Amino acid sequence: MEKINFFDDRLPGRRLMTYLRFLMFIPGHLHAFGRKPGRQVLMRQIYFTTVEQLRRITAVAAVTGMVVITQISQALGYDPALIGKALLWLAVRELGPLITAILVMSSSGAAITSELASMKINREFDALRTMGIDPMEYLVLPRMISAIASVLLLNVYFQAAAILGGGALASLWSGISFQQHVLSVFSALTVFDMSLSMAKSLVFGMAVAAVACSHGALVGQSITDIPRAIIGAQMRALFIFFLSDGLISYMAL
Amino acid sequence: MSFYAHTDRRFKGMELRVGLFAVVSLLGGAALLAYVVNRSDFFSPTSAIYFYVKSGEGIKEGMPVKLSGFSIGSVKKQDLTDMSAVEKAHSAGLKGLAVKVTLDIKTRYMDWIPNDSKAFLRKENVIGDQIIEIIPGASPVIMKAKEHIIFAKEKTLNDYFADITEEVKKVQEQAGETIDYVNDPKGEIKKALDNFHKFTVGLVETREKITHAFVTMDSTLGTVNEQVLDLSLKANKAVEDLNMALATTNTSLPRTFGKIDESLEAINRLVEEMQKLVTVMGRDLPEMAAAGMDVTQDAGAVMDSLKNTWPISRNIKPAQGAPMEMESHEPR
Amino acid sequence: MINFNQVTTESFGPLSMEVEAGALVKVVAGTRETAAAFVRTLAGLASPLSGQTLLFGEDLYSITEEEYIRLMARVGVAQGAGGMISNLSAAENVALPAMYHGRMTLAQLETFTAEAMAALGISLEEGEKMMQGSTLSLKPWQGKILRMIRAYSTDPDLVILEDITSGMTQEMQDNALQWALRLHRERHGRATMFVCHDESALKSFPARAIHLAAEAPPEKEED
Repeated sequence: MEKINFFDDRLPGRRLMTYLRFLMFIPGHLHAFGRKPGRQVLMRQIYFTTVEQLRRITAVAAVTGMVVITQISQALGYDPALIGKALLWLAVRELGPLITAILVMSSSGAAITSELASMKINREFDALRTMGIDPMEYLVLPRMISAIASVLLLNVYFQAAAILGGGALASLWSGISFQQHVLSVFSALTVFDMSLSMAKSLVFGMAVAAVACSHGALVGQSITDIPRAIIGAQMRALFIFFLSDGLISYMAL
Repeated sequence: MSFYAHTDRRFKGMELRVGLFAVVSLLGGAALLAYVVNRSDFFSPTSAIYFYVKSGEGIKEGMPVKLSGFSIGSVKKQDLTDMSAVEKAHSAGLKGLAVKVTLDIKTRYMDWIPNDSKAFLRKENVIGDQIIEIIPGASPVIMKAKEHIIFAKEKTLNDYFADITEEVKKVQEQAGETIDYVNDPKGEIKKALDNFHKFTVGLVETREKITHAFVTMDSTLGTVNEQVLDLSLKANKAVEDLNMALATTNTSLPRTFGKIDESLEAINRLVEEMQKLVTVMGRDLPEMAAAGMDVTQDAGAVMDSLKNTWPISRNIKPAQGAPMEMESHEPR
Repeated sequence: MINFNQVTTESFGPLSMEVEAGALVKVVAGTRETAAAFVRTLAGLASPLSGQTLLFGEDLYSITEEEYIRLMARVGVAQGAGGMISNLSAAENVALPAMYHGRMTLAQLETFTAEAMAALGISLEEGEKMMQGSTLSLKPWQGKILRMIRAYSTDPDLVILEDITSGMTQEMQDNALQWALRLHRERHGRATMFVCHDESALKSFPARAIHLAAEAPPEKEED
């Protein structure tokens, strides 16, 4: 792969091409995880981006489920079948992948961008190169894989927590058992819903990976470029989330 | 002592925690997927059947197909078809471009679908999706894969209201015509009544004249003879007038009775439509059924009053009813 | 092994030199900045204004990134400052290239590090304490020691030691130079290059001296 140089993002489409280049780097360089240091970095990154986010994701998800139940009940009255469907549409198809991606980007994504940017400015990328270690393989690739994996895996936890949290609240109100509520949601779940949810998670995960890593790895040479890189990555990732969410939902109609 | 032993507490047991996290989420997702796939019979074999419809509006690919409220398949695809190439038995009178809708039915449920079954497009709930419902027929022959099924577009409430409006309009028109006919000052009924009145007045006058003639008989026979002759001529004329009036009444009354029969038939049809509507709407619209019944009852009351009006009442046979059962101890 | 053909940078030049396999060379830069610039140019991190820089026969600034990375796996560089990965501990920094390229197992690395500490006159306890801390807590001479151990741990064909002796006590300077000399002689064909700003520490060192240009090229006069 040729040396990655500072790109001119004033040209339209160049930034998108850069994101795609970063994503295309993944398939051809997975052999890097055959080395122990590579696996170690990957393990740490997955730990930081997934396991450490689990509590926050679970709390947000449970509250989201409760809010959905509350709003639907107020608007349309209490109907277990309708609430189960609404929870499924919102938690599984829409809010699950989107909120998970936003949470991952705002925490792990920002951390990845700032870490890579400061390493670049401190010439740690150069230090690795002089050791005969490709910084893209050693630093960037594990972070991209962990970002994708974290959005995918945390989405599952988010949906489970939303359904369980919402079901717990609904069972308190209605007197219908918690088990019945949860089963009514699962009975309405289809392969299509799960596939749509996973597809969105995958796209959002790739967006987090490409945007966070590219903005960090291609930062300028001044220390003040670091916060600019972080903010730029956050805004662009959010835009990509909503745009791709709309596109995928439209194509799924 | 070791230079390279890890002392960072964060990374103690890290591999185990990450592995556990990944395994739990992957297993959980896989289990859920297996449950959903198993419940939805994702891998069950399916059979395709089809119908033709003028417009595919409201029908979507993936739309559920239900039998007695149970999901047995889905809409597989829709294609534009030229009906000129389709055999007449399946075309349902459609000409030109139409839509061929293919349904994917799980093979194990095909045994419940006779070959004279019908498919309907209907709404499932108040805010539910539209579905294709299959109403099984009575044929002993079961539908096979790739066969044609009849599609009948279910009447909506609007269609029923339009039908009722038409029938009510007809009843209104006929009732109006009947009333106009009866009230027409130049009509036969009026004329017949006028003629009866004239005849009655003429008879009274004639009787007075006969009385006067008998009283004055002694005075002059000659004049009595002439007066008797005059009287007989007038009596003849009166009888002729009476005959004419009777003949007119005989012709006009049957027509009136015929119109009333037509009105009664129309009301009968109306009642039938009402009953159909009540059946369809079922328990969800009792008020509408009650209102419909009220209309029917009112119309019936109107016709009852008409029936009781002379001269109609004399020519209409009363309804034959069974004698009312009474308690044995009730006094007769 | 190394060929500079009229290499000119903002800090030095034009420089032409050749370092063959097995050579022991000391490059006297004059200033710390010039020494750093020379090492960056030699390591392929800063493109010269003119001239050709060949390493193992390859033009460092014309090859692809992959070829460059493969080339640098044969080189051990001990920078005078920096050169550490901030999110790794000191021990992980030292072990990184050896473990990454599979040159040593962990046990072999432990032994090598122990021998290096002994040769440099550092006690095992002190050495362990140095290794377990973060890179931010290292003193400058400690960082140089660890980078030196790291550079030799991959058994490279070419070792570049930048400003290795400054900030050290005289005893430690002598220990470090002796250890480097020993390792140079133990590995046949290995070239060792000392880059320093001041020749005084290496005066008695049996190495061929290369002096970089004392002044930068004259600026063009404006019309």
